[in-house]
Amino acid sequence: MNKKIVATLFFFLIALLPGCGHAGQQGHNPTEARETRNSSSKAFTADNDVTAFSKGFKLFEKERYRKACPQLYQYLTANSPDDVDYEWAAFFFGISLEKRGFSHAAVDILANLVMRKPNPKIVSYCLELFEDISRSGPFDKDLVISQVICDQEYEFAEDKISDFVNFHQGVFDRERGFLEWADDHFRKIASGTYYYFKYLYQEALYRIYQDQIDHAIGLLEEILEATVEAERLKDETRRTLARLLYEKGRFEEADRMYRESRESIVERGHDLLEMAWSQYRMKNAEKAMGLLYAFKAPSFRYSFTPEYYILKSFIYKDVCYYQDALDVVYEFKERYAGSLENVYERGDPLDDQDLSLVLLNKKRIGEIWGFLKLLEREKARCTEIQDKPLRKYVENIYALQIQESVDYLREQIQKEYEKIANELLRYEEDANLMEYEIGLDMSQRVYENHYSGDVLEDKKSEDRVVVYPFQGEFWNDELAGYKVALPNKCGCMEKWGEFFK
Amino acid sequence: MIQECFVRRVVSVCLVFSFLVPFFAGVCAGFEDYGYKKKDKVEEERQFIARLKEDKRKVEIAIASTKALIDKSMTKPYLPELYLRLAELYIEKSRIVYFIRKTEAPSAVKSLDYLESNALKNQAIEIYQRILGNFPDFEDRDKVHFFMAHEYRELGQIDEMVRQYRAIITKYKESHYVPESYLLLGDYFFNAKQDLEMARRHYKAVLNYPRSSAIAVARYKLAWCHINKAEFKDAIKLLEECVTSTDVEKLDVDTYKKKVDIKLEALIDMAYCYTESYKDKNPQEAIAYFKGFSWSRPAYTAVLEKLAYRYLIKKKWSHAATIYRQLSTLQQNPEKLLEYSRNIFECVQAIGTFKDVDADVALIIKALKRQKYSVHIPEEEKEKNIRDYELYARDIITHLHHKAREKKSIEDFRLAADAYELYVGFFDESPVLEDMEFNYAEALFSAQRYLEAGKQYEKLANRMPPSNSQKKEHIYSAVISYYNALKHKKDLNYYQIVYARAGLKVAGKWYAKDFPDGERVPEILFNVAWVTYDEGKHDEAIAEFSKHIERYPKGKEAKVAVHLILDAFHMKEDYEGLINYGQKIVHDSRIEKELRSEVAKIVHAAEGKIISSLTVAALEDWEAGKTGLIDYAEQYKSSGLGEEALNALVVSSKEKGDLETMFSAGSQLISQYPASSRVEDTLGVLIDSSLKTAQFRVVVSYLEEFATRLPKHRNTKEFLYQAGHIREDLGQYDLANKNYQQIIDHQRKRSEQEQMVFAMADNAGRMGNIDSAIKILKNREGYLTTVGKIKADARIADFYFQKKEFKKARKYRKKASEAYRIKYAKKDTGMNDAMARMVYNSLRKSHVKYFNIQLKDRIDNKIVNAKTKLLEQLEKGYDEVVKYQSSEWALAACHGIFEINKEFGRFLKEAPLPPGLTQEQKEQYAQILGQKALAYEEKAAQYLQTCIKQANKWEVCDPKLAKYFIDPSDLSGISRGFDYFSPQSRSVEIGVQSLKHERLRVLHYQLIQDPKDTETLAALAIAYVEMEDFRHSILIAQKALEEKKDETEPLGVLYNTLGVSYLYTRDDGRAKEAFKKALEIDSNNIGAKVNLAGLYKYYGHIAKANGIYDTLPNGTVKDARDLIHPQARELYYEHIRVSQ
Repeated sequence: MNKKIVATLFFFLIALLPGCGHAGQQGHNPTEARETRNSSSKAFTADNDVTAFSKGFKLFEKERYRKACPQLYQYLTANSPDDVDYEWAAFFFGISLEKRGFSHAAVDILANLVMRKPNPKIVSYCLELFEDISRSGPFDKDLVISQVICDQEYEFAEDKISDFVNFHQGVFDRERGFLEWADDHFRKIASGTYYYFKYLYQEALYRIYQDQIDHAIGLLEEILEATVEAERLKDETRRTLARLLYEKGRFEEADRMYRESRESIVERGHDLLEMAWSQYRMKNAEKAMGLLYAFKAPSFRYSFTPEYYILKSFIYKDVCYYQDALDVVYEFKERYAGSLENVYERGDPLDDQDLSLVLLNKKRIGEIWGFLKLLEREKARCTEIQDKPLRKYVENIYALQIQESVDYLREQIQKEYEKIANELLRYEEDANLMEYEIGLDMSQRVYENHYSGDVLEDKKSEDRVVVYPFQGEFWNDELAGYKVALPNKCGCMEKWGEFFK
Repeated sequence: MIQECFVRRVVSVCLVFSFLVPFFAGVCAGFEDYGYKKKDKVEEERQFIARLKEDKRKVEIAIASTKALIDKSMTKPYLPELYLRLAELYIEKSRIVYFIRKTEAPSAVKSLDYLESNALKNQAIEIYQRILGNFPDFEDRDKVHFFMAHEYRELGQIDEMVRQYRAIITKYKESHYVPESYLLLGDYFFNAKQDLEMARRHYKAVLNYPRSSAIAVARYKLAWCHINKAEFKDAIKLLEECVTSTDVEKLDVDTYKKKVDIKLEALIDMAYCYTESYKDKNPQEAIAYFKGFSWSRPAYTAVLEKLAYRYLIKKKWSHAATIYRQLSTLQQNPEKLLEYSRNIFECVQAIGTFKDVDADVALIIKALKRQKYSVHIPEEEKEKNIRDYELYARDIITHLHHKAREKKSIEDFRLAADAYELYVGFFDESPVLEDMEFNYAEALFSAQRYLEAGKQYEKLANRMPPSNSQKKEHIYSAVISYYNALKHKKDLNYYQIVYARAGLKVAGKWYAKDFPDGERVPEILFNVAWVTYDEGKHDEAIAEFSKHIERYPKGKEAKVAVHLILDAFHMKEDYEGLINYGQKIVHDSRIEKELRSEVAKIVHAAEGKIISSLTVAALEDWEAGKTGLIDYAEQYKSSGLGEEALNALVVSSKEKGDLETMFSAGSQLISQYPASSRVEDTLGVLIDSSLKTAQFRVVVSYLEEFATRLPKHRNTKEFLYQAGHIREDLGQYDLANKNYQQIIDHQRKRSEQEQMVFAMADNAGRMGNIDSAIKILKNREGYLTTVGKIKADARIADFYFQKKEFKKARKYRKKASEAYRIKYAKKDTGMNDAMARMVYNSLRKSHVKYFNIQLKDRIDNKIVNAKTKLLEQLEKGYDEVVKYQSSEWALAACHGIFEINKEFGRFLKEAPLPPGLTQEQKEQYAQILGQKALAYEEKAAQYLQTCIKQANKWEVCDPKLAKYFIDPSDLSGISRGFDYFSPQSRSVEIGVQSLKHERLRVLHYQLIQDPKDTETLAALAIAYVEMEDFRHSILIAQKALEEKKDETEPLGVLYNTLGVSYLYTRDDGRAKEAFKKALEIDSNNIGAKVNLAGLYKYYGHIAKANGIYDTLPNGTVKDARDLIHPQARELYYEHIRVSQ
């Protein structure tokens, strides 16, 4: 992510502010389109309504989706849902749009179709598509999962689709406190399948919620032992397991979990910080510092958080690098000076580039942001649709969804901004406390050394790696393995004099 | 070359692809084959009819072949089965024929169309009847009846149907068709006859066949019988059994098979019964009940929908609303959600409590949002729904808001605020949006959600043009909201606090800028400044508050502002700033007097703090810190700071043991700040320190200073008394008397006064101020005790005698004598002394007169008589003196008797002879007189011996008494000029200068560390002797002796030092006692021995002196380090010389 992203985000949110053009006001639906078509028949190039479906279907069969779409759309606009081919037309229309790269439009149309309860065959196909989309990229979760999957029964669904449905319905029921029904759904998921392990992950989260941590750890370990292809799920599992192990003080195992992740370290900025914490708790200050050093890599420029500074100054303080520890505190203040100023002046969250980037790293916002990017990308392709009514129709689907997502994003950004601004202010206070504690620690050590009479030798680093032997080069495969030599300076006070001047 | 390779590769890939296409196409087609088939209705119908006709043809063939087989099997045992098969084929043909007819003419099925079908059914019935008639032993006769009943029903011949079922029930009791027959008969009575009782009996009969699959339906039907008879409790019990029973899983009743989901039906029907059976149950109980019986969310949703609707119909609004709310969490479909919302609205309006308004509005908005962003909902429908539901939402929110206002319910305001928040967030095109936003702000404020209220008011104000009259109120409301938010800071997180502070500042400044003359401007600006203070930005806060005070010095906020400024200075630890600012306020006449007085106190405290810091610094580095404090005191001379600095200097110098600084600073403080509250403590410190260091001349001055500064202090009298004593001991009798006088002036108790009165009188006497002494005694006579009065009268009389005012003297002598009682002597030994002195001195005039009565050249009897008489009087008088048992005066009286008798003897012996006597007569006369004179002389000698004896016995060392026992024969009186042991010495008084003498300084400083260190005190006493301040030495030695009384070494030295000092101060009697004490304690004290021996020798107690000298080995005196008075040393050496 970079500044361009923030600029885009800003554009999104500004452009869609009330009064800056309202996509919803250009609302179109098949009924409206029907009227539009009737009133401008000359401009319409598709065949008449009677043959539109046949032609559309033939084109669909020949995988000529671009041409199939206007025909099918024409049929749909000219006919009512009770028409014999209406359901199939809608289905083919949706599939054609999906084939042309309009995944959201396809989802929107097919979801609407499924909600009308068409023949089970169509429903099954649609569910299959939804399952596929749900695993491959951003999509309208509320529509697909809440309104389609969880709002109806799909007794006829089989195999993977049945698992998909049961998994989401189980989660839905559990979230609403219908535990037995949720368990009924989960029980129906075939063992050893992808959704079975998804279910185990959910079960683990539920156990964590119930404070049954050991049980949760067992479930997560079971997922990791599975042979099923679900790397993203396994990485998520490793992260959760690592956090649980960390909380239980099993730092080495936690560290191993982080390291076993298949996901590129570049994508796991927060993991790096958590690994650093583990190392710090294992008293491996040098390794912890090495991990933090990796944060200086350009890949993490926008991923770290204020916590990074706090940990770094902790480590420096522990080995009596007081000036360095103080420098980190100052660095924090300098780094977030703009953000803090914006907070103090009640500025717009989007005026704060640094925090905006941190916000985009938040899971929920990241998801909406990903979805918005997909919508924008697909919306941009609408220009390829030559049939005007169809283009208008599809554009409208995107415009409405973008408006909804942007509203939601804005709401989430405001909420998260307040949280993160609060955190930042707390960190600011922590930094001040840290500054104070560093001073206190120094004077305490001066006192102890003064009265102990012995001047401690520098504690030799086990691995005499030169301090910061890097020359600003960062290799992704090395990011999690940097080691920094931090000989303990607590016995050597010659430099401290300057603090007390 | 490269290009060629690329082309070749592409071609080969294409070839491979084209080769594979058919294969993949097949696979893809399989994958892409969605199973759609183009529907041609006519063709489909045609095909359907063809298929039916084909089926008909096949059935007809089967009929024919069955008939043929029957013909061939007339005697076979399976004949009835063949007939049964034939009947079934007719039934099948009947069905096909019916469908052919129906399909070929779908518009209207005429009765003719049924003819063939019914004819075929009748044919089947005939065959069934034939079986029953011809084959009585056929084992499936019950089945034949059952099938026949079915066909009769199809043909509408219900009575026949009933007969067949009854036949099964009555004739084939073990048949498995019996329960189903009961069931179907029950249905007959239930549906056709509407005979509930009969229906109930038949359904109930089914229940006797628990293995039957009909039981589930029967139970369900039976429940409905109860429902129809309004027996809901029985009904719901049966329905519950339907839902929980596993029978429904194996339902295999032809009539119901695959047509009815009995379990779901039963569950849904339970909703109906529940509302009737459990009228008292609350909605939560209802929800729990149905959740318990539901097996899935869809089933649960279905039954709740029914239940909610039932409650709605029955106008049980609260129940209905609750169930609909529960439903809204289960359903996602926007149309459903809107339907629920509409129903909830109806309920809520009817209930009128609006307690779930937030959830209800959230539901409306959730549904509308789903529609708003859907392309599948027509715009007009969206608009209409938004329009309609906006009204619903608005109605319920404003109703709740109104109720909240009426009840002043914070909880209701909170709910309303939540609902408003949802409303204004969604209905952004509402025609009443502005009003609703205002309501929202107000609800937030009333709900005590001040931060959000502030934001909302600010938002409203921002949107308004300056001309809008409400703008002012909105900004002000924002200020107040933020202010209140900050007042409840503990409820806010970091961000919220920062936001509220910034909000208050922005809104406050905005108000002041846009409405500079507004009556709230002072209050607002004050709050703006306060928030800066609250942020910890002290400098900014000081500036803003100062500006505020400058602008509104008499405003009600001024007082707080001033305090906050001072506090800000305090937080900064800028005490100089605080003091400067405080002083400015103190001198600002525009500021309230009371406030100025408060500020003055704060300034004072701050000054203390500055000084504290200086003091701490001073204690760490005394020399530098002390100088700092001294400079500070000088810099802020005559200000509170200067006073505090001096006080700190006193305290810290005491802590550090720096006596010079302490005395100097203390004295400065007292003199420069006489009204300071520190005076008492300072003097206390000075007194205490000087006492500890045994600086009695300094102590006494501070005691007197204390009395001067604090005349009414509870310790003042005691201090003055002590001062009087010390002054007395120092020989400063006038000063001593001044102190006593001060006490007496305010003294009321006799017992406390008497001692001082006599001390004063004595002091006055010592100073030769007899008038003053008389005056003291006279003035205070009224306050004296009986004994005191006698003593006072005696003293007055004595003084008058001294003044030769004999008349007055006699008057007082008479008073004293008359009042005197010997028993009083026990109470006050001084009384006898006074009486003895008075009597003795009263005799002095007569004594002189007595000596002056002399015969001249002839005997004059008058003269002789007068002298004789006077002798008697004097003797009597001296005897009286002796009786008072005062050693001094007894000795004097004894000596007086000696004198007068000796004189009388001489008088007699030297008396002129009477004229005319013969020589013999003369001799005889002289002899007689001589004898008489001898008697007097002997008497005189006797008294003299007594005198000498007593003097020696008492070891009298008093020059005034020496004449009575040393060389009494010297009547010339030369020896009467006997002087004290020590010649008159110069009087040295070392006060505060003591610390300038190195030797004294060291010792005094040692004492500050350990004031009871006797050795140091002894050394100091010696030092003072050597510095010739003998009286001070005496006081030090006395102090030392008070501190330690049971140690040999220093005590001997101390007593010797004390004795020497007494010698110098010409108090030889006390000196003797001191030396004796020294020797009692330490018999080897050379100094004491030499001194005492010298004293004895000087006063004629030679034997005693020699006795002591004899104990001194040669050379010991020379080497002795003890203090030896020079006169004593001289006498010692004289003794050595003489003895050698």
